[in-house]
Amino acid sequence: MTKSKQRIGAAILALSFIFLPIAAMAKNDLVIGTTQYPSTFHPNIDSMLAKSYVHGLTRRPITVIDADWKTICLLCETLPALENGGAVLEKTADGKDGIAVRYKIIDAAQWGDGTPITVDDVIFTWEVGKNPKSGVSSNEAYRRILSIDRIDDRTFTFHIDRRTFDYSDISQFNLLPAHIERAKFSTPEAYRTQTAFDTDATNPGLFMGPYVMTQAKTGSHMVFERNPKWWGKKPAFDKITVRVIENTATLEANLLSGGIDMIAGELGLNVDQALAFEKRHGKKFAVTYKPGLIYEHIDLMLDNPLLSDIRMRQALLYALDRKSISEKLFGGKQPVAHTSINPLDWVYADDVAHYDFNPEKAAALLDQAGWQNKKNGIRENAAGEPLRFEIMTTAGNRTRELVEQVLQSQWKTAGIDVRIKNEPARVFFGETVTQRKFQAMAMFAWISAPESVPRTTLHSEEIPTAENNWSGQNYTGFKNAEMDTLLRNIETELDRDKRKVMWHRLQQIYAAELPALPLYFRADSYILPKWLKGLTPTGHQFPTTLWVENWSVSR
Amino acid sequence: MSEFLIRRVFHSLIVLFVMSVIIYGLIGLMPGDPIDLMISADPHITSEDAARLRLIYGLDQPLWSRYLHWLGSALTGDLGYSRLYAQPVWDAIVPALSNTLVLLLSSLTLALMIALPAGIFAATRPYSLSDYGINLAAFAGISIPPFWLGILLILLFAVTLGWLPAGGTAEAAGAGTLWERVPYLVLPIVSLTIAGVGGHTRFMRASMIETLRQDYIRTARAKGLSQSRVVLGHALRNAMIPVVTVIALDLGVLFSGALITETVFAYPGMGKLIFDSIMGNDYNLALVCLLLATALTLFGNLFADVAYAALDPRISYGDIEA
Repeated sequence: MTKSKQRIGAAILALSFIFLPIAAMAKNDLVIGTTQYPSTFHPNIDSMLAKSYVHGLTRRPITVIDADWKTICLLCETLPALENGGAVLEKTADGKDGIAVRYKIIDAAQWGDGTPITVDDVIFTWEVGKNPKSGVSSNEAYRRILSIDRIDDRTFTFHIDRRTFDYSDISQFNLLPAHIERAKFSTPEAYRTQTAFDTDATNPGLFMGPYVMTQAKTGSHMVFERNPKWWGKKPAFDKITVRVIENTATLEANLLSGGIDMIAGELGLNVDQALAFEKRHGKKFAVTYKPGLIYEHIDLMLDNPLLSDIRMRQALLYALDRKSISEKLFGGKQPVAHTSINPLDWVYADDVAHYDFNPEKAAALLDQAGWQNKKNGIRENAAGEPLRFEIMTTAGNRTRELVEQVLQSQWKTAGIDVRIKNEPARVFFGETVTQRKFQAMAMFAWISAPESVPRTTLHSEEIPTAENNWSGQNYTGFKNAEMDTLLRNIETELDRDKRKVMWHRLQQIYAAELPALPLYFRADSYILPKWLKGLTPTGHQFPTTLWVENWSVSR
Repeated sequence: MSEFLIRRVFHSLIVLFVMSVIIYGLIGLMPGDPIDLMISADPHITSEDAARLRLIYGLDQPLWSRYLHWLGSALTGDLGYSRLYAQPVWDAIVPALSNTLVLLLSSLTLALMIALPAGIFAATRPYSLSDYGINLAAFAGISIPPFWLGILLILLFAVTLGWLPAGGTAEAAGAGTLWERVPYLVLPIVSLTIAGVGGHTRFMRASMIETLRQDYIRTARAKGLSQSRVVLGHALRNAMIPVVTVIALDLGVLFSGALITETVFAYPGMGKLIFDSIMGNDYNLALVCLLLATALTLFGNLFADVAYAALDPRISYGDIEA
């Protein structure tokens, strides 16, 4: 070996010593890669998945839905129910049906600065939540609580103004530490800009989970260290860093280079990206897919005369080979949807109309609807007008654009000319969808929850109009009196069996009327190191981090 | 000169005011508002919630009224609150701005350190093999898409060789010293430098070739001066004038144009902040960011005008000649 070669070798070795320690992290640390940074750390202002994910490390809701899709206590001792006396039916002051629900906060529960979690925090949270000036995004859950009885420091009773089947689920009631936040709430109008969650985000007194946040760099990363005051099972890692890398190619590169240990399923790669990654690097990582509640569908503009004909809507669906799309594009990981209800939900009904790929049926329905003639492969009506629709979705969403092209091609085979007109998300959701400006089809997803009543999307009172200032999410303009009644009754029916019957009917109507074309349920893809065990995807809105204490390292 | 500077600063303030009206108006005219975006992410938000939130955020007011409110606050030093980052606008901008300045000034300095000598070298040997080689490299630098270059650099130096981190900042990996920060800057700086060096080389070369054709250069050569004396002592100052203009204009473009590099390298800088604020309908943040970009462009132009006077004795600004 020449001297110059020796020098080059020595230089490379020196560089390796300088740079390699940066990539190699200590084994008792975990670095998670995600694609989004929370806009606020306040638990009740601006709901977003990125925030739920990191709050899973640092906070515990009073109740939560677990991986088996059952409501359980995390911060309370026993889940109240009519059967165990924790819930009692009562009348409100104005004579309406109400309910009283009692909870007891577990004795060991305390904030990260050692202050016990008490009913004071519960009452303060309620005061903030129901105050219209506080900036809390959704205060419906707080407004429903008429009063709170303090039984003792840890026990309280909510008096709720209605009887809904999910009376025991208060997962939206995110506790605030009164000992820190009360002073910030002295001027409710200014609370959202003064809350300690954003002005003093690493104050340990804001947290009550296995970890406390010790560093937060906007748009870059957050660091979490063990909470010495945590009363539950000791988590495996001393420190967890959540790094935000929006570009998924860079996210993958960071995983491969050791910059991060895993990619969060909730906010990471799409299924198609994960499948491609698995093909290339599957041996080095554990790749898990979990279908969830995100419902990809096409909202149909029912004011469009062509789409107001049920035969046209059915023909559109019969002409699609959704099973093949699921298998070819998503490796079968994203199941075909038949209604908006997920098969994992206990209220799911399988015996409703399914529209499996059937080109003959599609053709027959189109013929019946008056689109019998064909010119250049496109159907026409008696007046010679071509059968043409416009489909829109969020520009730049690679998966949706890919699916859209396949749909366009399948419809063309059936003689339906579908033109693609995509828009940036902020235009699409900011005006086109919310003000019902799409001509025929709008492809997007609904985020749901287990047994979530789809009132906002299906009730006739929820159709956005200029008169109601475009409020409501029934963008299709669907009107069905029986559906309206069902939506109202399901919410207040406490008997599970009776409710199941109503849910069944709701799905029957949905499948028969097709206000939207169901496509598939999106799946989360978790790319994990093979040594990480105990991470159980839930498939719903509650993230895996809520059970971070069950994660372990297996060598 | 001082009168000239005062006049230009005054003009710049007027431009900034007009720009603030235009930017605020354009952002306001874009479809949707922040509450629409909140609704799309939160199925629990009811119609009543949406109306209440619009009231809280002042979105029930007409656009001109919101602008006047912002302007009144801004004149007292309060630039508003960023809804997207839940902090005062200035607090959101400062870390991103410092990150961007480190990145852009380093890459601009490095690009100029390479481009200026390379351009001069090529100009003094026009149509030679070395000139063709430099031109080829310059065109390659201009032509390579920044995102592709970024990904290639990551794959080579982070994934394959493992020498450098694939992106992010040193703090995210728990590193804090200056020496530990350097590796995180290498790839983004290299990426931006490669993207910038080509253009500057071409400008320098063209300008120098043009200058070397001037009569006074011929005179200098006739006096028997060496090539280096002719180029560096006589031609360079004049040749720098168009180059300075381009560099000055680059300041504003660089400030808001590093979005792709910042995204690819997960580097939280101004490009990303501007993009997110516009897409997220964060009026206050977007406005201040865009005004900063405008101010930087105006400052760059002012700097260029002053530099002309320093470089070219024939240029003067009223009271004082350079």
